[in-house]
Amino acid sequence: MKTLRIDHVVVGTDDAAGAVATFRGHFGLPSAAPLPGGAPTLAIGDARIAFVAPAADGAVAAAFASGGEGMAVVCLEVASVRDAETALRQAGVKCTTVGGAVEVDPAAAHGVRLRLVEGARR
Amino acid sequence: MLSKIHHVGVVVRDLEQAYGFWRDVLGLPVHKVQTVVDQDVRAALLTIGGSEIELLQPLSDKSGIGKFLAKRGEGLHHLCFETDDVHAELDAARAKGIRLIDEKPRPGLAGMICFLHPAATRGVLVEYAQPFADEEHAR
Repeated sequence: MKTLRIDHVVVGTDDAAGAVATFRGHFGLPSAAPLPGGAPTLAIGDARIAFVAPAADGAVAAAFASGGEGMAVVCLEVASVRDAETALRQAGVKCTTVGGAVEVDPAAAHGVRLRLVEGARR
Repeated sequence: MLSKIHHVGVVVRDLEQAYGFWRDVLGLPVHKVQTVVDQDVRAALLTIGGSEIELLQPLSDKSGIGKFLAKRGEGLHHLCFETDDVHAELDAARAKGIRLIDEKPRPGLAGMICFLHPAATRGVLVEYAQPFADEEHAR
């Protein structure tokens, strides 16, 4: 599998506007393109921090239910989602494809809710 | 100035076992491995693009990472931003009234580091890291 970079980190929050204001105020991060579902993001280097409501994303909802507001999902860019899915399955790692992204079973990723996307989804 | 995500910290039960996924399946090369004595952890940095994934294995149940593992299990732990001046960033955070964990930077796996309190950052444990000058960081 060719894993290229961290595309974005998702902060699960039921107050996206407030969380954006917190991160912009604390860290001076500029706005970036929203996620496909419309969640706001801030840029940091070549990555983004996204602020997603639990109701909008099942993985965020699961993280939010167990830990409250905080880091919920890490999204990595891969060269090919298809190749990534094949490599995961060959390694015996459970995964699902949702909307063109591969979601890795957190049990295989050491508790991390991990999503793999291609660059075109940015 | 914060320039990029330096790393995402992940607590794991066993570093060697964790390599089986992060290194062998995802293909991320191990860049650095070190025991951080004052935190009682064995840590590894795995390169992904210009950033890293930091795997943290507690070496005791009483360490901060050990308590995290006992309470919450394996998973996401912290988000680290790279800076070229960790002292200035920490001073700036203090001036803004941001609650801190570290009052001054200290050496860590990623360089000179400090942590902000997650209560100030929407539940996200944020670290600042200024890589050591004599160490080539993954690019």
